[in-house]
This record gives sequence, structure tokens and C-alpha cells, in this order.
Amino acid sequence: MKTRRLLSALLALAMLLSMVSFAAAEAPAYTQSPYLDGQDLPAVADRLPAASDIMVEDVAEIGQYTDYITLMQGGSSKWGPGKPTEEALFRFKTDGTVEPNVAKGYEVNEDCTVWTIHLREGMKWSDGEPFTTEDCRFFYEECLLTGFTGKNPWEAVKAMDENGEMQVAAFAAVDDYTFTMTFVSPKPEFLRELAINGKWFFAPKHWLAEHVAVYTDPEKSAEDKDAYAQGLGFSDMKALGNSYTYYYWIVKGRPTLRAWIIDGDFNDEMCVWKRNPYYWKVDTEGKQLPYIDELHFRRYSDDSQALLWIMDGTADIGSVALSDVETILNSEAAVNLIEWSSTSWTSQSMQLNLAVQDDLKRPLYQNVDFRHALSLIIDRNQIAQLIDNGYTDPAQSAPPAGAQGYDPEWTSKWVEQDLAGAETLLEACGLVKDAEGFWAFADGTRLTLNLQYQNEADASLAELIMNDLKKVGLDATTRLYDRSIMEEMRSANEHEIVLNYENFDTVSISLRPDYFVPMRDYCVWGSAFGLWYLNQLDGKGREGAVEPPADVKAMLEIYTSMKNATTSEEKEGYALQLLDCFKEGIYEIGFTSSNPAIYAINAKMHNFPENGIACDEFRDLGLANFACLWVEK
Amino acid sequence: MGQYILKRVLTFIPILLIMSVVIFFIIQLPPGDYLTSYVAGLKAEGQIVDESELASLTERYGLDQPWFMQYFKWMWNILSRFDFGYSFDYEKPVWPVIAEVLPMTIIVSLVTMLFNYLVGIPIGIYSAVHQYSAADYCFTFVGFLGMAVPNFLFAILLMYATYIWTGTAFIGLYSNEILLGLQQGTLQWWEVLFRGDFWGRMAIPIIVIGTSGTCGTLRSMRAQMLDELGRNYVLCARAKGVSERRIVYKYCLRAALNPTVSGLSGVLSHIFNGSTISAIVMNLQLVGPRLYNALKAQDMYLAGTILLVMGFLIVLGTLLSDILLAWLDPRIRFEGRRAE
Repeated sequence: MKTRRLLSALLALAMLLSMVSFAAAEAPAYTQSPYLDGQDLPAVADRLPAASDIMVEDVAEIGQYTDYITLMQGGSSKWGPGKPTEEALFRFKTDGTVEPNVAKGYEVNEDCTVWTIHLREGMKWSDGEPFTTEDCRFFYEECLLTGFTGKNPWEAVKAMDENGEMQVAAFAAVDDYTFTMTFVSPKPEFLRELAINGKWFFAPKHWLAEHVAVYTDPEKSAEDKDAYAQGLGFSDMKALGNSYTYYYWIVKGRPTLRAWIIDGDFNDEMCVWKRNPYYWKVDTEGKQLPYIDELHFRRYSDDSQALLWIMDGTADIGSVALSDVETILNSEAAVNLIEWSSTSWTSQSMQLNLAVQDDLKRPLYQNVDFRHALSLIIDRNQIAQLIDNGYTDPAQSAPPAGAQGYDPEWTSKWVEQDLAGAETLLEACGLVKDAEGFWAFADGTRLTLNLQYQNEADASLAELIMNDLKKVGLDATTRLYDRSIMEEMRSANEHEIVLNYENFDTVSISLRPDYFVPMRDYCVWGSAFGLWYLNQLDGKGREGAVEPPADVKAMLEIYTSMKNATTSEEKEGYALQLLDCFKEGIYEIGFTSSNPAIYAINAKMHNFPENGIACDEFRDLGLANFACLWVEK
Repeated sequence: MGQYILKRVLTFIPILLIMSVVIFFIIQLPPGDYLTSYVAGLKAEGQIVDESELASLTERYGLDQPWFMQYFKWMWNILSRFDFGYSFDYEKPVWPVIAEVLPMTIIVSLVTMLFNYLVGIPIGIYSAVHQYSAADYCFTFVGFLGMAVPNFLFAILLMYATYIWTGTAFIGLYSNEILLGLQQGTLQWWEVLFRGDFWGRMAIPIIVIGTSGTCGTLRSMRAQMLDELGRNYVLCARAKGVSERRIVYKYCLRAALNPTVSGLSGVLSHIFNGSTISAIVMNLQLVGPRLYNALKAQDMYLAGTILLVMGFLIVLGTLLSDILLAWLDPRIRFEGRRAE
């Protein structure tokens, strides 16, 4: 009996011991940056989400904690620090697919109408408060849908009902870490659209609720609300909402989920961002990320300063213009130059405003033969050598290699200079030569092409094009405009032929069609067609609308079908049809192939991806996954 | 004299009012408004702003009203509450935006101005007294060079030179350590003035902004002195045996300073504004670059306030320089002499 008791006791002890050792093996020892040592914080394991829900980054090289890196910020764009620190529910990988980030995972029903999103249990805001579905509901229902963000609800959360009306998705919380989004019709691209348009989808309710309560309070007058905002240093309530929920990353003291939190004024000469002690990612050895303790954003007012900072080692990461590559290579700067491909269709381009107000020019610009003739006139080799310093090749504006719709035939379409061929086409367009040898309309009015551009750097391009045009007897002028004046001209349909103005650039035409298809007044080659399209949709009768020609109407029809498509395959099919329209009509005349984006990286920096794609949709530099970067001491 | 000053001060009011209307009118004159450049900026970053957002922003910024209505509202707030409005770009009231950079602007302006006068005036006198000497030719050469070299180019060359010589480009006034100290609050802005690394960097703006002014002062001082030295009263004084030193410093210098003193009318405004283009090139966070950006972005209340303050300071500076001139030159009197 005694032996049995002893045996069972020993067995129990052995089991207990094995359980303890098993538990020890299961929960790796999480470690934190020495930066946080001595701060009044809970243990690192208590700050991270539940062990099974911690996001483990599979880093290329396990890093050392780094005290700080210096980045550069020019101008007032809040996205400079915004993109590298962004944490979205779902993020893009370098190959363009979407993976869970803040979210742990998702499920979707068969017809893509109900998306179930899982969050990470035990995850916390940067102030240590729990992050739950309530923060998502609060953001969606109380900030986004009420207009508190100052932005209209994103396309990502809308779907069309059977009456053709756009309806926002319904949010439902399942538990603290699960919620669903239910759409009135299938929404196959929800995650990708959310990663592009939606980005974040949460706000710290514990911090924001009192402000939102003032905003939504029916008892309070607009003046009272504005006075409340003014008390907090804002001009009005809308400015407060926009700042706290949209451009929130530059608000000091506002809890976030980002790896770094701003600790100064965004407009300061140097703005320091400090690590988030509650950041929810670790590396494969259990080191809490990010490796870098502080980000220092140095403000510059002229590009030459940024270049000097890269050369003297002040900046650890900086974007480099093609024209500066030689300067850096010839200097003693301890940097690696890393090339990322870009999604732009061309590096130098010209777009004709097909809706131009001039009654003689409009039909001419709409004639594809005229665009064909212009394309044949240009000496692209000269542009590639003189403007792009030999970094690009002569090419038509077309999707770059690897992108959706890439077609070598398109890339080389109308690229070879052929002046005789161009003159034949010009004649076919009904133009005649006048007494002085210039091309004129049939009624004798001389055709003068007005080339407009907004970057001083494009002056030489404008000169080269003008010279080429004059070789065949096309009269032309060139003029530099301030960017905002150009913007005003575009919205008033007063632009004519623009150079390098919103060049075609997108990861996917179905996700970001705004600059390609005139479905609003964005696209440069036909902004007034966009007004016509909107008028057709809502019958509002916007002024300045111009009815598009048949080819553009066909394009708009395809766009409408694409927007309403219910499956990814269907959307893709329409996107390819749209691309065909662009190949057919060459609405943007490209001169050279697209530029790579070049970054100068501190030679001692590790884990910066060699092959990235620089584009806004993938958050530009943010794709480098800053939390995993580190610098060797 | 007192009555004269009072009269002049009273004329400030209509002058400033007219000035404010002109300023406001000119700021909104270019096509578009703040939103155009704001939206252009958003689009350059790939953001999409749709029609209804644009409409709501237009309303929020009061840009849907005609310019004179915006002007009256602005003026009324200034007069009634001393409220100069909000800067659209900084999303802050206008005054803090200016105040942030004002101390350093004043310091840079004062230091460069001191450099200008302390170097320009003595050399000008020396050149005049030793006309056509080797040193005069040398100073004349340097003087012309200083006036002819564009400041922005000189600044870029100096910044590059500091990079080549020291391995660190001297960009801006603050070293990394100072910036960190300011950020963490371990350093106050005035403590910066006692640091060697600050003055090392300050040398560039002093040389760049200072030289062009110094060369101008030098040339005008030399010309005026030469004028005075050739006058009959100098001949007479010399004949009477007055010492050369007394002639130059007591009589000629006093008269030769006239143009320099009347040039002081713009000094107050210059101290407030600092140098604009050179400051941008050297990355100095001064009022000048803020004005430049505000004008470019049509951030009208910020630009309007800076211009209005500059205008006020010019009017005030003119009055002060007039008073100073009268004190300096006994030939100048405010009230016309009564017919005797």
C-alpha cells in the first residue's frame, strides 16, 4: 500500500515536473530593449498579447537593439512618418499579397458577403489599455460613419444593393476579439481594398470617447462644439476629429498600435518618435520589436540638404533622385543604394486633355491618329540619355514588367521616331501646312500646342519635345506653372497638354482607377469627362462637364461593370478589358520606361528588403517593415 | 517734436488698414486657394479627396465666401479679440506658429546686422581715407564680389565645404546634440547661445547673409565719406589745424552716416522676417521661410499676419529712423522754420 502511495506520489511529481518544464519550453523568454529597463512598466510578457496571439516576425537576421536612426522629412506631408510606422489590420507583403497584421486572421463566407475578422487576444494600446473589437466598432460606427474623421466612408466598406445604391457594411461584434462585416452584396476584394483605403480600422475608445460624445451630442450647437475644439487648440470640431482619428499618428499622447509614438511637435526641426513599450510583435527569438528605440525625423527645406545628409551619414535612410546617384557613388558616403521597382507606367510622359475647351483642338486631340503622330515625332533616345541619365529605355506608357497587363508589344508601341509617318498621320487628321510651313487646321488657323508643366526640372524635357515638334512643323509653346495653379487649371478644364503631371501609376487598375478612368474629375486627360460621368450617375448637373467620345464612353461602361462585379475573377476580367482600352488609345504618351525608386541605406543597416515595390498602395517605404530594421554598432 | 510724433503715430492707422486690404487682396489673387494646393499635395501622396469632402473643407475654411467677406471677418477678429486666425497648414493659431521661430529669427538677424555694421562701416571709412591704396583696391574687389555672388549659391558652397572639411555638413543652426537637448527639454533655447557648436554653425549664415549687406554698407560708406572729405568745411578745418582724426570722426562720419541711418527704416521689419531665400537654402527655421511657404500654399491668415506685422514694423522703423536722423543731423528739423 505504502509503495503504491509512494509510486503514485512519485508519478504525480514527475507529471508536475514535466508539465512545468513543458510550460517553460512552450513560453519562450521574451526580452525587451534595454531602453525600457528601469521604466515603470509591467513585465514584457504581460505587455505582449496572449502567447498564441503574439505576432512573430520571421526576420532575415536576428537584430541588436539600436538606439536610434535618423530619417528625413521635407514639407508638411504627415505621411512622411505616417507610412513607415503604419500598422494596418491587414498589410501588404512585398509580393503584393495581403496578410494579417493587427488582425490575427479572417474567414469569409462562400459568396464573400460576410467577413469575420479575428483580433489578437490580450493586445494593448501604447498606454497599456486593452485593444478589443469595441475599439474597431467605435472607430467604424462612431468615427468613420458619423464623419468625425473628416473623410467619407471608404470604398472598402461599401457595396451596391439591388437598387444600385451604395450601402455601408454592417458591423457586428461576436466577442472581444472577433467581429464581422456584412455587406449587402459580395465584396471579394474587401481585404485588399481595406489594406489600401482603410489601413487602420480602430481607434482608442478609452481616450477618444469624450470628444466623440461632444461631436455627436444633439443638445450641443455647432458653436458650442467648435468652442470645445478651440479649447483644445483646434480651429473647429472637424479639425479636432480629423486630427485625432485620421492624422492621429502626429498627435502627441494619443494611444496607438504603432511601433513608435511621436514625442514632440511634428513641425519641429527634429521630431523624435519613441518605442511603444506595448508593441505586439516579437522576433523568432522572443525579442520584443522594434529593434530601433527611437526614430529621429530631421526636417529639411531644400533637396540639396537631404542629399548632403545622406552623404555625411546624418540620415540612415533616404530616397535618392536618379540625378544624384552619381554624386553619392563618387562620395565617401557609407551607404548602400537599394533599388525598388516602381508601379508607374513611364518616367516621362505627356497627356493631352481630350476635353480641352478649344473647339478646334478638342476633336483633334480625341483623334487617336493625332496622338499616334505625336508619339512618332518624339526622339525618345535623347530623352532617356539627357533627362534620365541613361537609367531608362525608350518606351511607351504601359504597365511595367511583372505588373497586371504587362505586354511587350504595348511597351514598344509607337516608340520608334518616324517623322515621315507622323506627317502622313497629321494629314490624315485633316491638318494642312500654312504658308510658313506650320501645320494648321483646314480653316487656316495655325495649330499651336501649349505644353504645360509644374516641375522646374521638366523645363529641359519641354524644350526637347518642343524642338522635336518643330522639326515636323508643329508650332508649340512651353510654360511652367505652380503646382496649385496647375491643379486649379485641371479642375477648371483649362489645361491643354501636360508633361509629367500625375503620370499613370498604380498597382492595380481595379483598386485605384481614379487617375486612369475619368470616373471623377481626377484624371488629367479628361477631367471634364469625369464630371459628365458623375452627372449621369446622380443628375446633379455639374458645370463644365464635357460629353466624352465613344471610346471613352465604352471605357466608362467597363469601369461601371468592374465596380459592380461580385467576384474577383469578374473584376480582373473587366480590369484587363480596361487595360486593352489604354493600349488601344494611348491616353498617356510615354517616352521612357519607368524609373526604379532608389534608397540610400546606412551600410550597417540590416533587414532592409532588397526587392520592394515603391508605391503608395504598399505604403512606399513602409513596405520595408521598419520594426525589423536594425543597425550594427 | 512730441506733437509731430503723435501725428505720425495717428497716420499709422489708415496706412495699416490700407496695407492690410492690399495684402489680403494680393494673397488671394493667384488662381485657386489654400485648398487647391492642399488637395494637390494630398493627391501627390496618392490620397483621394472626393467632391463632398472638398465642399466640406471649403466651408470649414470659409473659402466659399468672397475675399472681402473673409477679410472683414479676419480684421474684425483682430480688432475685437486680437485673434489673427488659424494657419491652415500648421492647424494652429497663427501666433504660436510665428512665435516658435521668432527668437531665433531675431538672433540671426541681429547678429548678421551687427556683423554688417561693425565690419562695413570701419572698412568703408578706411577705404575712403586711404583711397586708391592697395588695401582700398582689395576691399573694393571683395566688396563687389560679395554683392555679386548670389547668397543661395554661396550658402550651398559653404555647406558643401563644411562637409568636405569636417565630414559633417553644417545644415541648420543646431547640431544633433542641441536638437536632442531641445527635444528632451534638457536644453532651453537661450542656453543654446552659450554653446560653441551653435556658433560654429552660425558662422555660415553670418558670412552668407552678412557679407552681402556688409559689402553694400562698405560701398555706400566709402562713397559718402569721399563726398564729405572733399567738402569746403574739411578744407577749412584742416587749414585751421584741426586734427585729421577729429575731422574724420567728429564731422565727416556724422554726415556720412545719414544714408545708413535712413536705411534703418527697414531694419525692424528685417529683424522680424530674417532672410528668406538664404534661410531656406541653409535650412534655418526662421519667419522668412514660413512666410514663403505660407504664400506658396496660400495659407492666407499666416501669410497675411506676417506681412501685416512686417508692414507695421516698416512704418514704425521709418518713424524711428526719422527721429534718429534729426538727432544726428542738426540740419534736419521736423517743423518747417517760420518765416523770419
